[in-house]
Formats: sequence, C-alpha cells, structure tokens
Amino acid sequence: MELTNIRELVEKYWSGETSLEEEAQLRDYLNQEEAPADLKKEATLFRYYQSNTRFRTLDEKFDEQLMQRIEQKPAKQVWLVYRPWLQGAAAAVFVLVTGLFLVTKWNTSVDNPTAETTAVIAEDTYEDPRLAYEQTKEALLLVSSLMNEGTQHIEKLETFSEAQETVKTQIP
Amino acid sequence: MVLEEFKTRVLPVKNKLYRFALRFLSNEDEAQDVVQEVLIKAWNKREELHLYRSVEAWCMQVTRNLSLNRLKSGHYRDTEELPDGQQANHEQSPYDQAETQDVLQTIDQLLQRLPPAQQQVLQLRDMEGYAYQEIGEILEMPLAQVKVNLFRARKTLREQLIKMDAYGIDQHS
Repeated sequence: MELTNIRELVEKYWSGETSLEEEAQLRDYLNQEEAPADLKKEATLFRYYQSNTRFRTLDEKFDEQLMQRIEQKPAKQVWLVYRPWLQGAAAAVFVLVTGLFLVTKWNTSVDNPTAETTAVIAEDTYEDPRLAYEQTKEALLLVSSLMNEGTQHIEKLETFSEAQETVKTQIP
Repeated sequence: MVLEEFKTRVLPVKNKLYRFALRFLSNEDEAQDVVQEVLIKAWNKREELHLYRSVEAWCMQVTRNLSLNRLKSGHYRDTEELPDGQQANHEQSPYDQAETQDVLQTIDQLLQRLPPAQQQVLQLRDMEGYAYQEIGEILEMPLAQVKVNLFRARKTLREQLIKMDAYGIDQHS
C-alpha cells in the first residue's frame, strides 16, 4: 500500500473515523513493514495491541477443566440423588393416580357405562364442609407423617453414598 | 446445542473473554474463574443461545457483569498486592523480547491510566476488532458514547506517545 495512503489512514485513525477494514489495513502495514520515522509511534502502539492479544490466552488445561465441570453436571440426577424423599413422593403420586384411574375404569365398566357412574365417585360423602375439611386434613397429615418416617430410613442410606464419594476422591 | 457444537462455536471466544476480564481484574486466576463461569452459564443456556443475535457479544457482556460483581464483592485480590517476584507474568512474546520491553510496558501503563470506559472501548475496538454496534451492546452504552470514548482514548494515547517521543524514550527495536 502507498505510504501516502497509510499516512491518510493514520490521520483518520486518530480522529476516530476509520472503519474496521481500514484499521485492519493499518495493522497489517504497521506490524509487518519497517515503518518510516514519522509513523514510529503508531507502529509501536499497534505492536502493543498485537502483543496484547496474541499472548494473553487460555491453554488446553483450561478447556479440560471446563469440560470436566460441564460433563459432571447432569443437573437432574443431582436433584434426585440429594432429595430421596422426592423419589418416594413421586412413587406415591404414581400409585394414587393409577389407582384412581383403575377404580374409575372398573366402575364404569361394571356398572352402566354412563357419565352418571363417574359422577358417583366424586359425590360428596359429608354433609358438613368443615367436617370434611378436618377429615381430609387428618388423612393428609397421616400420609405425610408416614412418608417422613420412610425418609428417615432413607437418610441413613446417604451415609453409604458419602462413604462412596470419599472412596472415589481418594482413589484416582 | 451439543457439546461438539459448543466446542467449535462458543469455546473459541475464551481468549477474548479472558482478556476482557483482565481489563477489570488484573489477577489472572480471578479472570480465568470468571471466564469459566461465563462459559458454564452459556452451556447451561445452550437451548436458548440461538435467541441472541450474537452469542459472542452476550458472553462478553456476562464477562463484564461478573467481573464487576467480583470487584464489588470486596474479597477481590489484586495482583499488585502480591509481593515482588510473585507477580503473575504473562508469557513472553518474541515481540516483547525484540521490542524494548519498556516501551510496551509504558504503553500498558498509559492505557491503565485512562478512565475505565475509555479503556474498555479501546480494547474492544483496537485489540479485539469489534464494530461500534457490538461494543455498544457489550458495554450497554449508546453508540455516540462509544465513539466519544474511543476518540478520547486515542487522543490521550497520541498525546502521551508524542510526549514519550519528545523525552527520547527509545522506541526503536
């Protein structure tokens, strides 16, 4: 490139009017060719820019560490492992839903398969809504207390997984 | 996005992120931590990444935010507080050896004396080659502001370089 063009570009650069392409041209010129005396300071500055970008980098060790963190992080699994009662709860819900489904089906197939039969299951058995509420609450509390009891047993199992972790970390 | 795509499309940005983090945190380990955090965030968001116009600009933006958070959080350790000899040393470039090391270091100091916004804009434009639009996005700054900051940064640098010249600091390699 013509030196006069370069000088023009340099002026444009200092007044903040160069495009990215023009700045690339400047960089190429100033980093490669022996710059004339009046462009020495620009040459130094652009060499500084280049050395700054070229030699401040992250190596493969960084990549490895990152990949390790990415691969050992299956978020969903952790969620279940650390909350054993969730597994119990999920199983309970499954049993309840399936049971309800089966009962409904059985009712509709045994009796007349009309819409009326399904309504029977959902029919109120209590006159007093307050009483119904109290009874429901009691039933739910019972279920919850039984579930907690189950969880306590499961918690003991965590000792095993802790021990397993320790072994894992100590044996490479 | 699968891991392979992540490795080819997102991971290569790491060096730009690292240098940008270093602009805020001069401690290399801290800067590296920030970049790792940014990339993990990007990975966790891999299903939504295509929604961003530029994944790279998004990563740069997050780098800036996380770096600023670290600065604010207080337990940030600056490299400069380390005793002599423990100073983190950048890899010596062939250029650094050929060029009088002093000159490049002087420019580095000049740059660090600029207001933070000017430093950031100058780095993004003159070292990393971003368009004004992208710089505005990364720094969450209006376009006019980007240009003003760049102009002022270059102007100060030019004045300082002329001064260096006048005092006869050797710039020849």
